[in-house]
Amino acid sequence: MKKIIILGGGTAGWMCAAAMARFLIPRGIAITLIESDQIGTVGVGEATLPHLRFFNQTLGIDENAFMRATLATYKMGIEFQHWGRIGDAYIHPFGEYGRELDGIPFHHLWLKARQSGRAAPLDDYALPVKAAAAGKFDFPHPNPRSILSTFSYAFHLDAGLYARFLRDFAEQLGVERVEGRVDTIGRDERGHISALKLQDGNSLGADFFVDCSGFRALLLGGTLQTPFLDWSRWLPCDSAVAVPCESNRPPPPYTRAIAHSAGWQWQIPLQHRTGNGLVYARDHLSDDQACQRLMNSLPGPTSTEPRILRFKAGRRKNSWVGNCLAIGLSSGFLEPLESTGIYLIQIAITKFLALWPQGGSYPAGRREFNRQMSLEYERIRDFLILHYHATEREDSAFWRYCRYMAIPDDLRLKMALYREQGYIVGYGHGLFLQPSWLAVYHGQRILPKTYSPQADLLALDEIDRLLSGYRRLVQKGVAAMPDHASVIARQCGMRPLPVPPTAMSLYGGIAL
Amino acid sequence: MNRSTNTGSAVSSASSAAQPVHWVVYGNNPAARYCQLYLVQQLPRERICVSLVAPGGKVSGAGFLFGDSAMEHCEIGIDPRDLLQSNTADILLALRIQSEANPQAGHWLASGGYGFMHQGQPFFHWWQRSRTLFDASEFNLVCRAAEAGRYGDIPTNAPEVYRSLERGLQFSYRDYCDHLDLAAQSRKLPVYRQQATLSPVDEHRFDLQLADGTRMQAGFIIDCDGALLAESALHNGQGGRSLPLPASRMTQTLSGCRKRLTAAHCTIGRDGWQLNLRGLRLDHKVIPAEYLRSYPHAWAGNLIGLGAALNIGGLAVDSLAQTQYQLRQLLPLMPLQTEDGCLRAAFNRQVATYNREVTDLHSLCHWLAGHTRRLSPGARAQLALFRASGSTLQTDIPLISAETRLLLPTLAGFWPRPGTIPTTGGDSDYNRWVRKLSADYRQAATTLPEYHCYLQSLCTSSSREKLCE
Ligand SMILES: Cc1cc2nc3c(=O)[nH]c(=O)nc-3n(C[C@H](O)[C@H](O)[C@H](O)COP(=O)(O)OP(=O)(O)OC[C@H]3O[C@@H](n4cnc5c(N)ncnc54)[C@H](O)[C@@H]3O)c2cc1C
Repeated sequence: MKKIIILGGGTAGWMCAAAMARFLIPRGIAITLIESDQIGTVGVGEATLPHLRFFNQTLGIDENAFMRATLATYKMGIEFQHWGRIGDAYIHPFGEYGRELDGIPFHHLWLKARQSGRAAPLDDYALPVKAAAAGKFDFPHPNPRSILSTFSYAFHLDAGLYARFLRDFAEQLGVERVEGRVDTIGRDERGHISALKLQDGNSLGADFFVDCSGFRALLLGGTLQTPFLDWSRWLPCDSAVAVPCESNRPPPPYTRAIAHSAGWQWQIPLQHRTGNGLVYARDHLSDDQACQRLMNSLPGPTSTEPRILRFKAGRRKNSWVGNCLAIGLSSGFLEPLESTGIYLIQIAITKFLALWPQGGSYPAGRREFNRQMSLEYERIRDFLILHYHATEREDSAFWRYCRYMAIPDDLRLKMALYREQGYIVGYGHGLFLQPSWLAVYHGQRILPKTYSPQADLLALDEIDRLLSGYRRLVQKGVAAMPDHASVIARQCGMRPLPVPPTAMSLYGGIAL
Repeated sequence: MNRSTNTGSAVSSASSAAQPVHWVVYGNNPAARYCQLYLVQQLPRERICVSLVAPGGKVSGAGFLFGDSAMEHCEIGIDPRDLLQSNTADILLALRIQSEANPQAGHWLASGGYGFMHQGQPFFHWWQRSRTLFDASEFNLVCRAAEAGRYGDIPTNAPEVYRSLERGLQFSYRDYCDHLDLAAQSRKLPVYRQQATLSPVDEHRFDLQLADGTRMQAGFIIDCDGALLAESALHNGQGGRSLPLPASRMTQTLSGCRKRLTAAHCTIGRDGWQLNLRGLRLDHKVIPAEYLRSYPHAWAGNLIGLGAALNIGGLAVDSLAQTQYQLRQLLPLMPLQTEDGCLRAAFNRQVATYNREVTDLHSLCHWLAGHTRRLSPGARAQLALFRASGSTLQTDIPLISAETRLLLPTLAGFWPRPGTIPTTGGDSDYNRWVRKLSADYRQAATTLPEYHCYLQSLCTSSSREKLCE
């Protein structure tokens, strides 16, 4: 393989170009990226997950420079308002709840103590929840025994600045950028893509093509006709209206996801502004109503017109077909409720690079790539559906639909197991592991019928001691943390502190 | 806004005054004994009572557990040092694998601990460039230590790369069972040494009919033997499912002196394999054109099959190791009040996934050894990916490390296609580095005590404490 063309210069295109520049250009492979100013990018995608730190680190990107360039803030989780019931709020943190004891998961100990009225709210045992709620932030402590090591962090960033930042990085490492609109796609006798013809008549050939053309999915969907698996019966929101506004309050270290009668609304705090958007199902809310609702609930003034985006939840049956790999919105879309878009881009890139056949024989690597990606998508999908389905809301047709809809078998089983005996299904690979499922189950009012009998191996007093000790540690830890805004100022200032090491995990140091 | 407002209906007491549920474990092998001790150790007595029904007959065979299985014995309340001190078991660090045709040219193989990431490349990739000079085991402290007959605690100041020293175990089944029998006896656990058959209660549930005529009522029955699953399959008119794994017949001989080692030997032949450990020689002869039949559902009604009962072979993953894993899946799903279908469904799913992994590994090993020309679909995909890109399939259940998985085909002479694995970095630098690294591993292994000295030191309390940490 000598040459790869990336079609599209959104977040997916430039993340891919940056990684390929770092790992494939040194192996003698030329990378070209084609993008069209005429078409532009989707321009959203500003809340991230902790894995992005790992991506930056692997590429050799300085995190402090990245913070400054993208006007980013730190993120310790997502606050969900009005999901279980109107008036409820909980934070899904990037971190742990308590600590297991003798192999007994913490939540079983907590459930037992709670039954005897000897437990504080679950959130009191999660440092990232308490810290985020208090507007505090600091880097996790390197000592895994410290309470301050029990979380991880991500960023809120400006999508436009991020693409620009990656573009500079990739171009410096030798990626060639071509401005132009792709018109026609050439294919060889095997049906593989052979060349992309631009509107200006230029034709660019390569051995391999990466489709980062966004919702258009020009290559994978348009040319290769890869079927789209429609998941909108489970995730019925199909539109969003987005608008930035000024921010005049210190940025909280978490994203807000506020449910409304036909979907939800995001607030993403950046250094210079707040990103806002309202996600909705058009069957239940018109575009006008959505715009009005968003504009009426902005946390600050705006001079920008709201922008409407359309989407459909689902994914292409295969992300890699022949010599074409789709990354980003061209390979699938899951709504941004848990900020998974950029994560899916990142893992598609890393999986591809790990399975990439230097020798040029694709089938085995392709099959494995598609298998892994479909597993990722499905596991995230089920976690998202949980947010909609685990509700007691009946105040609108939208929520009644979500509450009573038929859900995927896998998710039904997972929920039944938690309800039955507090069992949280685990898996080795996948984004959201036990702490996340616990956060949402609990935050949306699902309580198990029983706790694990293993918890009865410990006396209530012993559990009580353990819980109160941990809670005190959390309180002390949070009290010792600085304000989020002051850490941003420090890290973007003249004397930033070195950043802590990263891992491909949502939860900091813990191995689950 | 209410934070953490989960005030839903109260959790009911798990320790309600209900009678303990009677679980009966059936089998005369290590797994059955392990299972009884495990359940008793992991659950409060008010919730469960566990009887063992062990049909008579001599226990034969021997096996090994990889991973940190020595420490896992804490889960059944057995101090792993007692297994060593009582000469019931030995630590197993690595296997010496050789072919019948050329017994001199052997390879050391461990279940993990190979090298580390270097310049963004995993061990298997960077090692490729020096593979004609250095065996992979030269970058594995476990293999080095096994080869040198050494074992002990890694010094705390040792560099990170030398830190992994997984403590596997090897033992004859008979010694192991004797040890666990004593543990059961000292804990006054009910053990019945008799044959038993199923006695239907209704369409889905059974009690046990013991050979002495007693009917033993059972909330749940765990079959670690296979006889009960076979009987229930007959009841339901269901046979097993044929696996691509050749059936084999085992004979056991005492092979001279019983020297205590941290290694075991496996000789692979075309029509079988031979395992030598702790003075025992186990010959497994493949039965031509006969394949293993296993049961698709581990749990049906109140009967649960584990380990050997599910019949997925034992070439690379001993049936006791299979049982250990399956028990860990079962524990949080055990129905302690009423039996709920979702618990059973989840357990069957998890076991099916695990069994598929084990079957794939066994299938690959048998195929590489030339015992069969059939490969399971998973093993075929594994091999194809290995050839095409020198990588492994992603799995939620890593039975062995990714590096060990990659090394397996190379033992049979299969390598990734030329040009598959990228080579970067200056050659002279690399050669110097890799030579030094190999020497460092060798050196690190020699800092460990001789295994027999380690065993002697177990008598002193300070080293006992160390192992427990
Ligand atoms: C409402 C909404 C909110 C989101 N919020 C988040 C979030 O908070 N966090 C998160 O992680 N993800 C989020 N996402 C997802 C995230 O925005 C995307 O994953 C990310 O922006 C990647 O987009 P992309 O690069 O695939 O597509 P785009 O940004 O659409 O880029 C497509 C590129 O292809 C080019 N192109 C298309 N056709 C042609 C052509 N014919 N010729 C030449 N060039 C062409 C375009 O010019 C453009 O450069 C959100 C998505 C939506 C819709």
